[in-house]
Amino acid sequence: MKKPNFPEHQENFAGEPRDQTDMALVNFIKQNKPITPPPAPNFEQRLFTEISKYPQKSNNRSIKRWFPWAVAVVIPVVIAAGIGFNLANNRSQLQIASNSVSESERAAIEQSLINSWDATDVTLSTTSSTDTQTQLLMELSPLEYE
Amino acid sequence: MFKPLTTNIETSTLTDPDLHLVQASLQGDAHSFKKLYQRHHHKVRSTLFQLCGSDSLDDLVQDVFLRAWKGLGKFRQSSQFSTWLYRIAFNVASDRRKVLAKMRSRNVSVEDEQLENLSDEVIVRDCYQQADLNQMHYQDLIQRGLAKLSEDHQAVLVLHDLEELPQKDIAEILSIPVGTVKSRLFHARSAIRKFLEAQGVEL
Repeated sequence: MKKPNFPEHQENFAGEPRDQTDMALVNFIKQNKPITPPPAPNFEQRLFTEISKYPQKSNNRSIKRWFPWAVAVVIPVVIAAGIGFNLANNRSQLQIASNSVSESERAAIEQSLINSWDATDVTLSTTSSTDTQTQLLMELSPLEYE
Repeated sequence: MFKPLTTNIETSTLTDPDLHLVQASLQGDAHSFKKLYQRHHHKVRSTLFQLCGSDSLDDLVQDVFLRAWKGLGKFRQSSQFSTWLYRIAFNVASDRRKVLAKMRSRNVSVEDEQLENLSDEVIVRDCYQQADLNQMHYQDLIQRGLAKLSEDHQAVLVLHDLEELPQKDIAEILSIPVGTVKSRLFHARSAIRKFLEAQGVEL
């Protein structure tokens, strides 16, 4: 077959053909590049009618971008605020307790402590008598306790 | 001595002529996106045609720009818009080829050669009416030669030798190293040269 004629132009983009044979091939391919058929007459209109059905969600995009940062900042702030509030609240309750005890109440509390102390003595004496009874029982019937 | 990588990225961002249109499109400005379409649709269309043929070409182009519009929020503005768009075009072409391969494997009664001839006849009827017979014949050979290549080799040859994209961009589009682009280009050229020589073309 007859050798095709094509211009010997130089490549000026990255990846130049390495030798004359490659250059001849690339030039041949370029010169005889299959022609792309044109689009339908109303193609652009049809495309942008389709595109208009999908509006850009720029707000959602910015929310998506900032959401992790917002979470990273807001959560520690909320935790710190909660701890601070809790400490302040507990401290005020302690202050209320210490301030609200009057002299009469203090005397009542003291009396209550003395009474409970006496009650402990009664319990101890009762316990010691119970121990004596138990010892007697053990002497009377030793087999039952072995 | 050592230039930081960020310098190149920043430079590419600043020199990307599409960036302000992309940003306007992200705000919902369809008119800016129309300008992007007008800048790039010829190359996108041509690439899709070389990779998939003329059947459903309008649908494929529409799919590319629709995907680009919908996914504009995911576009990392550290790279060129055109590279990102070609990547979408390549994905659309790959999907189309998979569908065609399935259809072809189902329809066993139709021979591959018949399909190629049918496709060629359509192309000849639609596109080459004005061209002279000799050039029509060579264009036909290129089309058939490309169809004989593997998908990987075809993509590299179309993007590099027909669409004249730099190897760096092709590597980014196909998600492969530049060395692999060079290797595939070498094998693709060898394969198409063999095909053309077998058809009687002297190179």
